[in-house]
Amino acid sequence: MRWIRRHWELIGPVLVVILVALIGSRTSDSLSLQFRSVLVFATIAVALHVFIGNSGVISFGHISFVAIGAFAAGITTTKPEVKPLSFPELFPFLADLNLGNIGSLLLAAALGGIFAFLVGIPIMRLSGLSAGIATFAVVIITNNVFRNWERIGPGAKTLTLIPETTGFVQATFGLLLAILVAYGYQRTRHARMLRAAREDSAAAESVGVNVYRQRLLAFTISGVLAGFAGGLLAHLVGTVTTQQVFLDLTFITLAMIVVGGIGSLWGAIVGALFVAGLNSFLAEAERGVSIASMDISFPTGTRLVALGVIMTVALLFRPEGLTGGRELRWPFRSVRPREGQGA
Amino acid sequence: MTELFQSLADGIALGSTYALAALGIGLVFGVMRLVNFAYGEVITAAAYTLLLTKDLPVWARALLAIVAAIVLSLMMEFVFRPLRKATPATMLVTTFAISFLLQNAAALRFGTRGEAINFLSGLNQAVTLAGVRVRYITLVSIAVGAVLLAATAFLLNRTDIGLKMRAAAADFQTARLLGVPAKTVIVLAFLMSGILAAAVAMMLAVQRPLATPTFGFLVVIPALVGVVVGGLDRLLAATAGGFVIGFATVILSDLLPSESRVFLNSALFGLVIVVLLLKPDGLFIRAGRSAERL
Amino acid sequence: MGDSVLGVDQLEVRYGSIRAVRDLNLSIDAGETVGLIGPNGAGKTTTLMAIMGAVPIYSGDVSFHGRSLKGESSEVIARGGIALVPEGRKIFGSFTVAENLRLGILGRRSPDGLADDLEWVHSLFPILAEFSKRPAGQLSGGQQQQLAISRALISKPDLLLLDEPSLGLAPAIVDHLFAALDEIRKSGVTILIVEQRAELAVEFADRSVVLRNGEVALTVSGDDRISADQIAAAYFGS
Repeated sequence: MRWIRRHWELIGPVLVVILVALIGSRTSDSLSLQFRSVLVFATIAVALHVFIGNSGVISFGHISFVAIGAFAAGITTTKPEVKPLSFPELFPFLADLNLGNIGSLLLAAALGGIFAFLVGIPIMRLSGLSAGIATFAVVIITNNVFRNWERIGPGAKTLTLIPETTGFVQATFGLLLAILVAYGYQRTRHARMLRAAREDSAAAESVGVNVYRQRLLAFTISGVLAGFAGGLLAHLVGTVTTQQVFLDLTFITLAMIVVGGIGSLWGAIVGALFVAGLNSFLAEAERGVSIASMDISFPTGTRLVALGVIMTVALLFRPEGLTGGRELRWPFRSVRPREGQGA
Repeated sequence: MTELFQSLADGIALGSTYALAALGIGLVFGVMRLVNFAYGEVITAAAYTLLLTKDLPVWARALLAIVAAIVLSLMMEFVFRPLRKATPATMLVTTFAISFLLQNAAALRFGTRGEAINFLSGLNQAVTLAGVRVRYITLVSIAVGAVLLAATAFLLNRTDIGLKMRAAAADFQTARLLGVPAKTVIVLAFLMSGILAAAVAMMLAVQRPLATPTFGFLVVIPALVGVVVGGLDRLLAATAGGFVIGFATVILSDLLPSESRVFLNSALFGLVIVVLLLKPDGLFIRAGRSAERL
Repeated sequence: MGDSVLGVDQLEVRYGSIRAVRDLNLSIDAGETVGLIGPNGAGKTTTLMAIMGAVPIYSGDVSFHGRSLKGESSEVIARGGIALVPEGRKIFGSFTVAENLRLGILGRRSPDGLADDLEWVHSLFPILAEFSKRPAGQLSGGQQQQLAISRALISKPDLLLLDEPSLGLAPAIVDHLFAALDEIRKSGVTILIVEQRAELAVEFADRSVVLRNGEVALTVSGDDRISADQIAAAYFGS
């Protein structure tokens, strides 16, 4: 019992995720895909949170790690006999490489982390909007290269026939794994130092915190998770294009953590479930759904407009996010109230 | 040699257009500390207005485009008002959300393929000046850019309301304590940025004659990058940053061998990262002066 | 005596749950000079900020010429005839000296007599006329303080609020500054001055109020021959 309470910030979100997964696994096929995509989006949000939530620096660049993960996982699992036909320019070693599901996810995570580390070495020296724009430049460059360099990927074409292995088990375990990593990291000294620097960078430096190194560490870990999430994404939908992992996804995932409340793992998860859930609901609504014996059907294209409206309203009226950026509290009365003391 | 001059002229033309967009972003940032991603949609609104008024005379189309841009810009001011106390991340993502919303609304209404605007397309013809062939629009863009930049500079530096705006941009709190009306300067900044957006839309509508939902977004991204590269905290530096991005885009694209031209964005944004690393406070900000604005 | 220019009535200001100022009562008549002194964190600057509408009034009231300022914005209060010389001067460093003064002029309620006022300010602080075209950031600390005072004065306020004018200045410069302030006082401007250096304020003001922990600890008249001990007692409690 005490153990549960001590780790409630982890156990609470885990229970919520399992609940969502259980509900989703009981639904019809098309709805099931929506539920699984919510779980994968949430994995990306958790990856973003590890860096943005702890460092307070906005990164627009994470979707490049997702992209790398998605293409890596996709390329290494499509059948070797198909690849040379569809993508004749591909490096031979990539055309021959076939890793299987788990191997491709591991590769996606590794490449995401390595790329984040390499990019972070220069960029983590920056802060504020300069850092934001530099990471934005990274996502533009990554997209530009993937789109035009056909030796490493499908170029402007669509990478298809990726085995759709992200079922409920994989989506759920993937997200739980990401949550576990994020939580584990959050409890380390490194993360505490980084959060201290988020509040007051100069003060943190003055007590010996190497802000640069801590940021780089968080950036790399979140790169690993983002790459991994990219792998899950490729195996979820079975196809990847460069546009799919570009600015729209950057914006939607950022909106998730801000709508949820920047700074907490719980906020990232709540925001992801809210925004991605809404997105899925609206997507279904465009195809026509029936709720409480009322048939609702929106014209195609309204989904994104409605999503934009709801996110704008949420941000304007809850600028601090749905959770206020706080972790999930133990819902029962505590035996020894220790709050309310001090300022 | 003449090719070089053509590149330079084109570079200056695109630079002036981006500089206007950068100025529009910088004006609002100055008084609100808000980087408005949705500024692109103000430009887009002006472009669609030009499209919808095809049958009217040119002056009426231009006027209506300006009005539309001003109205949308002022509506944004109203929407952003509650954000004044929000964190920078929330502000940024909210403007992103509005941009996303308006783009998709435009896609819903007009489709994504784009429609021909047909605005002053005669300006795309070339004229030979001292042996160099340049398009009229190149000269017009440079002239319009110069006039609007000069007008803005005059307003800011030579008028009372301009002084108030500069004071508000430099230190909002102190300016208010001296009696500078916050609302007036903010509304004026959005109004001016709306006019600039309409000018940008018109310059681009001549050269890129399709109105699409991302018409303005595709300008604002480089302009915004230019603003940060140039120096967000000083209007002149931000504007110069916008110019440099436009200029560099043209020059880089002419320098790259044709088979690598598809990697133009990589080269440009790679350069952006390098500049940010070398001059994180801005290319045109002298060291040690970053605390002062404007 | 004369009309009450400023009335502070049971003012309470809070930052979160911290009560920065509580139960403060103060009335300043036209032409009077009042000092507000006390140790760091006593609530002096907070009081000025509450008068200027820059921090919200939790309870109580502030009135100017009998009209409540509660809920008014800083800009309206400033244009209504209260001018602040803020702590740390807060001049606009990249603007010229003349532009800084023009910001003050823009706060005037009426353009009448501007030329005379400008001449007067320039006679008080001749250096400002000389350096008129220079960026204000190039001035020395003392000159910047002169500029901040002039900027407030040129808006022709009924009430001048001075926040720590001596802060960070050398003794000789402070003497010079207070000589000028004395002239300003004699011209009939009503003044509320916050000073950390109590002896300066007590000597300068008609009467002074000592704040401690947000509360009035002692009121002394300038004529009172009060001892350093008394002030010290009020400062630190006894």
